[in-house]
Amino acid sequence: MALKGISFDVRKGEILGIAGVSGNGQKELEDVICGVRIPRNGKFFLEGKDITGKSPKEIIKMGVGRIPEDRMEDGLILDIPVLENLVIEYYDKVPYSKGALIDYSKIEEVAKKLVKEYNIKISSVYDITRTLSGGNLQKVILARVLSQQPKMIIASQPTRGLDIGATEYMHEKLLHAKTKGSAVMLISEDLNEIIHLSDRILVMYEGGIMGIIDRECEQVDIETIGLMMAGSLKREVKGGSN
Amino acid sequence: MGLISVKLEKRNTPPVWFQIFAPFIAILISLAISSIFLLILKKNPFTAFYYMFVGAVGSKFALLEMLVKASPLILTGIAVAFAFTAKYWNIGAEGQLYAGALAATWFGLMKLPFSPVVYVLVIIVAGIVAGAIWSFIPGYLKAKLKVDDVVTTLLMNYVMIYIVSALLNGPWRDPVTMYPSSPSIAPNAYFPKLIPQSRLHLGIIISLLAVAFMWFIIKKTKLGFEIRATGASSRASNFLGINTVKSIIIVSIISGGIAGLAGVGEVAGVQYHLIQTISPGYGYSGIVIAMLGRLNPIGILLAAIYFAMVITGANVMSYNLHIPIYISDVIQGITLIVMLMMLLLFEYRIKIGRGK
Repeated sequence: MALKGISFDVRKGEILGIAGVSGNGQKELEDVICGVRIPRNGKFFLEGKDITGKSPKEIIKMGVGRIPEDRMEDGLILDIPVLENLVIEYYDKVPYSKGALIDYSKIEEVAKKLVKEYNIKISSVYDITRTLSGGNLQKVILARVLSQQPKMIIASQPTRGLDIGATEYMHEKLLHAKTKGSAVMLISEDLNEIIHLSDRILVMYEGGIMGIIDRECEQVDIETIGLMMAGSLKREVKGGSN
Repeated sequence: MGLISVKLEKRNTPPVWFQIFAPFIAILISLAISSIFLLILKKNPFTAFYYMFVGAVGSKFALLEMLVKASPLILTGIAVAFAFTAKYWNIGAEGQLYAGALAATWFGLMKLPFSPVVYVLVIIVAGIVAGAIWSFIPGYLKAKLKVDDVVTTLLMNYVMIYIVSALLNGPWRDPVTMYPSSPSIAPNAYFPKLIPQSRLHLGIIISLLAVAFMWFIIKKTKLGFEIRATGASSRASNFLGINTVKSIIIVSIISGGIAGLAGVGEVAGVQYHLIQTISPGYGYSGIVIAMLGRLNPIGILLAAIYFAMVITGANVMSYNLHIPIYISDVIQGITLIVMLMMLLLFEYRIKIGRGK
């Protein structure tokens, strides 16, 4: 699926929900923003800085927190201990490492704190990540991302396959991140989730935008969203400064 | 008619005791299987293994000889393990060893007016660089262009061995004996002996340093973490901002450099000149040792010593029992197969069901 003519912005302190039937370009959009796919053209700005085509490392450094759709394959390395997964996006920075050396005692300390704070159920931070349940795996990612107070968060299918408790926890944390000033982009197939959390809802169809519904200005109508998702209703997208 | 379907399912955690005892069990099983061959030859396996043990550690001479064999094996084991930790399948330690031996000989033949300490350092560095370059080529191809590493590293062994052969049959042929072996390197480039009247040389200390080096890099440094992460999941590592291309290239350089060191030791510590059979397959044994040692530096040290015992002990065994010395290769090969099977069985469970 190719993305075409997509232009939108995510604002500080809001959740922008991206609705759509799976396979209409959401994964590609996620990949571009996460830095694992380089767009042929088009730009992606964060606070006015062009970060198009930057490496994942640079994108992380710029303050983008990424909760990927595929938590088992992309979001975590399953065969290493939990504590390493908790800091894997910033292990190379002070205080986790100095020069070429990693300070595991510092990492252990931070990991223990995160495990407690995010209520991750493990017996030790040295547990191999593979042994965790789906909900706990997602909490490890959540802890890693939110502890950095990212400027922007992209969460893709963040509650897929999770039980009710873990789903609610995830929702709570995303809302909390929003109130703390992060710009949250929520890609989900779960329309209820989108409606429940989003301030604005963008509907994607065949790699393009069918329209953006601003909940401040209008009532959300599931039928309208459904028609847009099916591609039979397209609305004028106003503004859109990337 | 229904077919039987056999599936492998990943286990969550291999039991802890397995991590420690698996290699020992693998050794026992492989010795048991080797006994079958000894029985076919109508020899008592226990007598055979007794001779093997005595031949390896039964006297001071045997023990020192065993350590002489152990040092290149430790080095190639560590070299391979470094690469395998990143899932960079370096099958080319043999060629990298020859590259190191070639460079050491080259500098050794220059007969430079250095003090022994300086000269030894020079050929060590030359060997590391040569091995590293020879390994960097397939490492770069793998990292940047996804060229299959097993194929390139394996085939480059032959290229290097033929280069050495060409030199020994050409410009480096011994002018006195006319054998395809190089003249002796400068005596001030010889590795010092650790114990007089023995063949034990500096190489064993270098090997132990390599063990410590690997432990330090893998456990304590950012690079080590990147190498482990790349090996555990290249895809996730990429996503999470680890430069897997860099990890693979660096690991290929380190791996080749260490394998090159093994070649330096054989030239400057044992043979004092370059011969075609400078390595009787140390590079390939390194693969088995790395697996048997479970990519753990200490495990590799123990595995290499075990292999050195098998190699030196097999000499004594074959001499006393009149059986072919190749029994040592058989034991090595069986050990690898058993170990690989055990790893498979403990990381996966076999599910047998009725398929369609």
